[in-house]
Amino acid sequence: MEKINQFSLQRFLLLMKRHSLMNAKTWLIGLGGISGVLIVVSLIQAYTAGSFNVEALSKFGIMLIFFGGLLITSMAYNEIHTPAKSQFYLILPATTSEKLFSHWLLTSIVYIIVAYAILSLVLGIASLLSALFFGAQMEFFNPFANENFMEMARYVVIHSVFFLGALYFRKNNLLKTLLTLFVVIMALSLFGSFVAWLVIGSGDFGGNLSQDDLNPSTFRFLTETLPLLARIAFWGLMAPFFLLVSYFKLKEREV
Amino acid sequence: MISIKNLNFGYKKNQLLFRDLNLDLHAGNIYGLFGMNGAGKTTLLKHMAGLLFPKTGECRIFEKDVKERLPEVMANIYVIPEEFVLPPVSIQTFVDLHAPFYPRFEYSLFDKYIKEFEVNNNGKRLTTYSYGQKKKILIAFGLATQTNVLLMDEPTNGLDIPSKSQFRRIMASVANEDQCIVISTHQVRDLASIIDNVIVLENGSIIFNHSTMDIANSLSFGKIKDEQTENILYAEEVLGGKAAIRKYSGHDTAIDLELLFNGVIKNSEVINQVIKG
Amino acid sequence: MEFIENQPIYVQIADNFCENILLQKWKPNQRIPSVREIAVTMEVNPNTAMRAFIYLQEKDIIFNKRGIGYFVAEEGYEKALELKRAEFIEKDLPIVMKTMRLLDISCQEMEALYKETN
Repeated sequence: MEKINQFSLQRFLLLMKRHSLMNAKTWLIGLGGISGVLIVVSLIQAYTAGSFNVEALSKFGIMLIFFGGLLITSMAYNEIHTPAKSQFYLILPATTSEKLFSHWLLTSIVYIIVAYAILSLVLGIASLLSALFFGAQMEFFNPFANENFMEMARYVVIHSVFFLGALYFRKNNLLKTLLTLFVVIMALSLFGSFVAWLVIGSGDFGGNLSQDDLNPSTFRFLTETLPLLARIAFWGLMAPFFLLVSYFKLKEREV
Repeated sequence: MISIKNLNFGYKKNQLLFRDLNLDLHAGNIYGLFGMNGAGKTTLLKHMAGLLFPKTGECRIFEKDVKERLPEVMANIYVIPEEFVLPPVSIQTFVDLHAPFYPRFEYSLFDKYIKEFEVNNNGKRLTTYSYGQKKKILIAFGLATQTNVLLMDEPTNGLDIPSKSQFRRIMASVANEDQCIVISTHQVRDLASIIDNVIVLENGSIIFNHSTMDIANSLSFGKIKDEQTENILYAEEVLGGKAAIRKYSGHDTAIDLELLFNGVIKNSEVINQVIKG
Repeated sequence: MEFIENQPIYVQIADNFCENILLQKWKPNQRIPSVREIAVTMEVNPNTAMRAFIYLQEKDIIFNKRGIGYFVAEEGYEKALELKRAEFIEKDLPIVMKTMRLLDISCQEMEALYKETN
């Protein structure tokens, strides 16, 4: 009887299956839309310029995937924001972490892998069509390039913020998350400017900071330690932090 | 099985809906939860299902705090809400996606109830069914989970006349010693024959909670013609006389639930005293 | 004081059993439907149905074979007849006679009518 309260892979997979079947429409429209736009744009490009620019198209595609993912994420918890639906979700016999991580995994890692697979396929088809109809040189997109893995990882981290937003805000959670993010960044940069003003003083350096204006330890802090801390915060702390907050948010959720 | 202790709850800060509400429900019973509009029947059921959290006090099922929503507890509760939106999937998909969460779910039972309710399982999306049909699908699913606790909020609301009869037949067939069923309703007549305990919720607390057996052994229900008030606990005007509740007269009478409810709302103390005494 | 009561459901179920026995649809030592079956057909709580079985068992009209079910007693017919006769004489007959007096129907008239309908 105690074991039933511990993590169960079976329930986890079941929750993923449940969520994907119930939201299949959103995913189809989202990923289908991205594919459609990419093919049309590449054909227009091939028609006008006579070439297939895989570099530009993949960048455009990755951007679409990024925002499409955030859009899908923002809708991931629609079920929980309508009492008439959320009661079924909340009474489902699964742990809060199973419920949370099945949603998270699906909209972050599973989404980004599926999206990149579709992007590779669509760009391949677009390249083939461009070659067939407009004689463009065939070029292929390599999803396994290092920079692509980096991009995918970045999506997964940023996703966690929007994931919490989807859980936290009832309506228009994508816009509200963006707005909150904007306000937070503004506040942080104001705070940063204030700190800089304190550290550097009101010396006249005309906005161009050079090594000579600062003592060496401050300079090292600003150019090495601070960026390192920021990187650790972004890659190591951000996603766990937002997921933890999401966990408590879901656990405390009532209809 | 379900134990609510000193429950305080209100939707608004300074306005309590429940004040120190206490309630103990046991296995092997079908409880009828009655109350006027706004008395908090649905809210109480939501507390039992861990969908709302008490401000203070607690609600336990199998000794476990329901608001933790442990899988162990939730796998033993099913709720049939009055207001609901079902996902746009077929009946089959709905069952496939939810049944595996309930260890005792029985597919053959689900098919049996669906057939008994005459619901057409044709592979169409749940969203295309009428409210009454959806409700029947939910009831069939809830019963097939065979959970120990089954909470039903106005289950006959939206059912047509033959379906209400089907519902009573099905309920008569499912009730068992391990199960605690709570049915909230204001449609007294639909369910009078099926329940074996009467609970009345009024002014934020439980003002009446007795088995139909105790009620039938302590009270008599009938019609009086004259003005006599001897032994009368409660009376109200009806066509051709007065319907009245009085102390047990020596032989058993059919419980008039509507009359009992009105009597309890008017003066629960007197009636409670007679039943306990 | 006049107090007109409705019969409880379990008595209605018991009445129905007696009628089946008196009409000899259910014969002595014949097995009768289970508590659950009765509960379902009558659309009542099984506990209510159970009360009807206990009531008739107390009157020696039916008996319980553990683990098998309920059966009509050997003397079931006689006992049911006795019960229903007593009930009729006690409950229904006074009303009939009162109405006869009210409408001035004599016993001879009644006898003629009785024979006619037979």
